[in-house]
Amino acid sequence: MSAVDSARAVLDAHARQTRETGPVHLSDAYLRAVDRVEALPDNCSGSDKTWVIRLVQEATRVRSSLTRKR
Amino acid sequence: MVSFPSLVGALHQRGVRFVLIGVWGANFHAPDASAVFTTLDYDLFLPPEADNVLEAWRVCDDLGLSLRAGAEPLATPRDHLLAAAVVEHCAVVRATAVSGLTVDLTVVMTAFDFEQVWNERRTFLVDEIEVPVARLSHIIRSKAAAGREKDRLFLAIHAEALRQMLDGDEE
Repeated sequence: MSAVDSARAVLDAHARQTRETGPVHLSDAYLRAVDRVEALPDNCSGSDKTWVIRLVQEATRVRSSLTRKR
Repeated sequence: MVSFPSLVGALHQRGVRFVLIGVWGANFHAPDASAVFTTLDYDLFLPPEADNVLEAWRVCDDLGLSLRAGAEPLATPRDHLLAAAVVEHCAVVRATAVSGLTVDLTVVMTAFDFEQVWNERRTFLVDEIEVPVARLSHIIRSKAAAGREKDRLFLAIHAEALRQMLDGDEE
């Protein structure tokens, strides 16, 4: 089996896997963490979030500029 | 070039009501870069009102964004009748710009109605533009209720990012 065929077999097997869907139970620890994050001073209304967009823009730019070496 | 803040500013000018939800809504609550997800798609939650939806489309049209419903371009004429049908069927309309900006306009947020999310929203600033953003707890609970594969993946990674970050704070 060629490398391409092997790769296809792996992808086909992955595609055949049953995906779990449906409502998710959220743990108390996660919900407490979400509450803590919401309560941070930086998450009050009026906070400047421009850095978030700049970060994602830069990450996207870097990722799109990557080239495969081998 | 149309950017997300410029679209938001134009929506405000025309009186469109909306709240940012989804992964970008969660991103805006991220305390640091470790909890920010790289995604290009913004999700705007609109009230199920045809007039508001129609005005949102007109803003997108005026900014040169293309509108699609599913795989097809959004039908014309883009009038109140079409907007009412989109609201009735809870269809998602996707607006895209040549700049790569992609915005999904939806009247559905699983497990929540618009007014609840609107009343408890946060307003953050991006390039001095006010962006209404759903509470993080609303976004998380909605994703948990929807439970699609991508929601499950997001919740798993997000929970771990918050755990590591908060554990780090306590050390």
